[in-house]
Amino acid sequence: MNTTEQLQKVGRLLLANSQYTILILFIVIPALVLPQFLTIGNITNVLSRASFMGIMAIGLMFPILIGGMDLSVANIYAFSSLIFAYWQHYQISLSSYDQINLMLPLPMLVLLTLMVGIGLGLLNGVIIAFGRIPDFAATLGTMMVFTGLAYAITETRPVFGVSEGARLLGAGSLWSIPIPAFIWLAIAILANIVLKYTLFGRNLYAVGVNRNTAYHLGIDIVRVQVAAYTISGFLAATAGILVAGWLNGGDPRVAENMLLPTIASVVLGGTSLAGGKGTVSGTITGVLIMTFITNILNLMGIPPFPQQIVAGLVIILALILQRSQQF
Amino acid sequence: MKKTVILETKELTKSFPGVRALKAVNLVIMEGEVHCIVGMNGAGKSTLIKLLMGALMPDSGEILVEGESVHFSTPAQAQAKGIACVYQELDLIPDLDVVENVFLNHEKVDKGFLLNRRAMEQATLSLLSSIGVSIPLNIQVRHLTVSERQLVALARALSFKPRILIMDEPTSALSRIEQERLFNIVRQLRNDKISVIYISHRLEEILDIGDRVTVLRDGQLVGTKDVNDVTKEHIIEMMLGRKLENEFPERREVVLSNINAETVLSVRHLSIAKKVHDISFDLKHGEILGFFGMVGAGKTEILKALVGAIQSKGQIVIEGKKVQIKSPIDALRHGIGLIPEDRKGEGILSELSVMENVGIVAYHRARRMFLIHFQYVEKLVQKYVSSLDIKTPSLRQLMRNLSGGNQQKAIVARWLVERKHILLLDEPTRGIDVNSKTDIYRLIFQLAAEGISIIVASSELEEITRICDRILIIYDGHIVKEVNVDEASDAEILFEATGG
Amino acid sequence: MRLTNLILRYNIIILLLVLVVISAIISPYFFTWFNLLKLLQTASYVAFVALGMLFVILTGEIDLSVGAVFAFSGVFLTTLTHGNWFTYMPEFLHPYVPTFEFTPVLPIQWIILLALLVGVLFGMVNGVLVARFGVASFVGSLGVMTVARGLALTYTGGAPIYGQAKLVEYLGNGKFLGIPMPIWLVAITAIFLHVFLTKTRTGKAIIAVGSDFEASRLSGINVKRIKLLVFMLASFLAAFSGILMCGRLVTADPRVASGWELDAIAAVVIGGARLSGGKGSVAGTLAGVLVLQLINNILNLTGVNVHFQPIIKGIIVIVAMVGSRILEDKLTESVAVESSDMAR
Repeated sequence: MNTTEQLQKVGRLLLANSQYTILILFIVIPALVLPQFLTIGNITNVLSRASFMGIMAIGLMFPILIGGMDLSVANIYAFSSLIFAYWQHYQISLSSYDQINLMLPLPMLVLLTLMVGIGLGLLNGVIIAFGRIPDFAATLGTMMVFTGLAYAITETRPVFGVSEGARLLGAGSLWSIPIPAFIWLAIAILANIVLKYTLFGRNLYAVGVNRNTAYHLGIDIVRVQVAAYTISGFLAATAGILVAGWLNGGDPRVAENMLLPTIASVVLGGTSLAGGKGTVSGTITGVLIMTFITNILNLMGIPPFPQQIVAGLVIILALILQRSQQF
Repeated sequence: MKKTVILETKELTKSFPGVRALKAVNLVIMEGEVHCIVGMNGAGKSTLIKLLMGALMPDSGEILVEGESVHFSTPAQAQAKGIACVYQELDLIPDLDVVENVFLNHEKVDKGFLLNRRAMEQATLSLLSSIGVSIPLNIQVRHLTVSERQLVALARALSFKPRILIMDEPTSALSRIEQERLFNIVRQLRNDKISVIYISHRLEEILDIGDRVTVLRDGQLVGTKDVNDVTKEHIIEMMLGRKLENEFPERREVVLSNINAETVLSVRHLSIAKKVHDISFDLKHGEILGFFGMVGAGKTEILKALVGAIQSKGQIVIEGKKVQIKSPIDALRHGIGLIPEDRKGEGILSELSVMENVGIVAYHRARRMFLIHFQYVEKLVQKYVSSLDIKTPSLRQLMRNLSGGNQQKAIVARWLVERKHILLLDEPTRGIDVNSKTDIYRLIFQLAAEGISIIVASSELEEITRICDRILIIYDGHIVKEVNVDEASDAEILFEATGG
Repeated sequence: MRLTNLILRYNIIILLLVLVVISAIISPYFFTWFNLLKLLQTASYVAFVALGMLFVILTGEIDLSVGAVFAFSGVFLTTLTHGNWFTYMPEFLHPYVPTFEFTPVLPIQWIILLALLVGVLFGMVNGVLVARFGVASFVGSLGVMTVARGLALTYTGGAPIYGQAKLVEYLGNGKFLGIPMPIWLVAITAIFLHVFLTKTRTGKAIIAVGSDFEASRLSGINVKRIKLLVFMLASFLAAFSGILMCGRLVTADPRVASGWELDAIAAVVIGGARLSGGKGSVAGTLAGVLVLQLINNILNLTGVNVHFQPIIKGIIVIVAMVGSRILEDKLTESVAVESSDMAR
């Protein structure tokens, strides 16, 4: 009697937090079945892969929390990875490995690249807030623009090679934990504080829950909107810098197949596309789920194409599960 | 002549999470009668309509049409049985034109599947002229005024050639002349043996055109009476379940020195395109000023213009200084707070906690460095939540789980946490229960006594005359009269507010 | 004032004309039959997808899966034409045996029907996710897209399959009265859809659902059925277009049409539709498709780096959105004045 009640309670708890339940399943089951799964090598690999998307996903959360959408994040990410790598060379040659020549110290380059991300994010925010057009359409437009920009800079050529310092940022590790994962964690903590304990964070939720109410409460909606998109651009650029180090170069094609999984992971993490609902920890969970799906299927030896089918099905099932817990 | 029963409900029951909206309602509608249904907001009227129309399914009980048990799972089935409804939140589609709206989902078709636009236009024209209005047929409904929409919705309902017509607060947006016309239509329908279920909280109307009246209270049917056998007072007692007296707290003494009090807010030549025309008035320190007028008279627009939520022309002077208020952000800076009419759409943050809903306005001064000091806010909020008797299991409860009255108290509490010296309340007691009403009236008095200047806009005459010191009567965007509360009779005020 | 209203009201037509003039100035070959027909034929494949997307957007939803459904239906059709149901499954499931012989498993008409049916099935999944489970269409269709694309790639092992049946080739690339079939087909479809949208009960219901969901429900419209229907229509048109594309290329490419969902949305939006639903037209959408195609054409003719093309497209999407927003504000103003005048 008592135990069944307890079991029911646990069951409800698991269902109510379905994203965490799914993540736990995704760790426990493969750990039992796949011997390679719980190795330091594998976990490190998953963590660094997850970090890039994870940082971007946290950024994307801000527009989504106000009921918006930023379709251009992946392109800001690709553009900044490219420009960051590009700026580490005096000249781009057509050889396979471009000569590295830091005209500016690396921190300055990082700063400049971040400024680029902030600028592009700001542009999104300004178009949406002052043009008063739907977020989806505006960022669809800027997404195309940024794609073109990235391709145009190097005429579609990837840039090969980045400096040692940049390599360390993207591919280095400390106590066998990848540096990007540390950065991801730091950003997550910071984002959590901003969302939960600052005026801006609370205003963000208020705008997302009910824009009209927020307006009548005297919340500056334009400012909140612009800030949300700027943060999104900033974090996408951060991820871009890291991935340039990880890939040892910049490539406009890193944008491909990045946008939609990032959105999916934010939603899987329990953030509502209607706005006003979502947590940083949920988003981290969503990103880990998405990364683990690929990793587990890889370890099972399933080729990449069928992997997509399985990944798609898992997303659909998770969405249904998430919706049905609300009734 | 013995009349036949056309519609009957047996033990109709419906619950929503946490609320029993209808409890075992047995309603009997005769053929060709005007059957009025009255009840306080939240008494279950809307739920009853939605059940009759198939927009909701009952938990138990049944509906009988001409003695035959029916189970509606969509409104289309109810329409097929000859039941049509004019909803209070009008069921019109803003992007379709008048004809398309009138015939939505029962369009006239020829050649199998193509729409017969001409036939529909003619039918719409004759329906509209039978109501006695002319509205351009090809105009999108989004561009019509509220009263025009109301009439289009009526034409739509009539287009079903219903045997039972449900009308939910049909006169709320109509002028006096339009109301009179509507009553004639209702009488005409009665002559044509069509039953009308007429929902209204204007008891005069009910006594005027009703045959029988049913009173609902807290989801239960209190009784059905012949209109000739009841008085207004009797109906009110049935609605409230007790005597009327204690709804309004003891009227505060109108401090005559108020007349000499300093002017806090002075508005000159305020105009809003097509809605409000050249309005001027003064608000004094500690005064409760009432705006009385029918729905759509422009009260809401005036209040919104004062906080900059809609564009306006004119001059606003606060404490002797001319100010520019372009948005609620400016209004807040100048110490004006608004409690909007549309609580759900503009007042509450449904998915956030009670604490956030009340405390959000105080965050900016509850910061230590950049971080909000939540314990401080919580203490502040807790104080007002308990003093206003807001019923919530905890401050963490989501706002949407509170009852309407408690939600309203919570958003009034906002402006206690963060004091403003001018407070604008738009329909402050719409849709809330009697106890909460009394609490809110008390609160208004208390705030005025503390020197806060208050404007209350309402279309409920009793509310305005009981709590305000001075009343401005608004009709069609103009201030038609200013009265001191003790000087004018209710009838006189109502007369002015409905176009004179 | 009147003039600006006029310009705003017909902004897409004006934009189209401007682009045509620019094209004519840039290239003497622009007005040749060859070039015009090629242009229209190239545009027609996206046009089907965009028309389907229009109906989804009219109900206030979005369908990201159309590009993938486009690809899969072509791959599925071609696999069946080549005599197998599952020939091109990955090696661990089935050995990869390339066949170039035509031994269709069924008569080709049946195969086409079957491919269309499979496409519609994807639409049904989208519709059920949205209407039954209340999943946001953006992510729901994203999941379906991943599955459909994965299936297409898995079926062929990632490689294109060569060879098509005569009928498919004729539909996708043949000519009737000197005009390529896809142009005929898209014209017929557009007329049919225009009539469907403006002259039938279901068409009105689609606009109603996108304009005001709750009011539509109270009006007795079966809102779930309408949502299901538009997703099925979008997938059907995508699948149909995918089959035509197979005929055109004589190849089924599992990677074809990636990103088309966004192009289609852009075309619909440029065509004056409202993303939240309730407003949009077939003619506008076709104009939107042509605008995008003309831009591509101009940039190709001038030899601008192809990779600059998205920049221009993106700017046009944004400008078109801002334009239609201003238009809507102005119209609201002027109509409100008219109606109050009439009432007096």
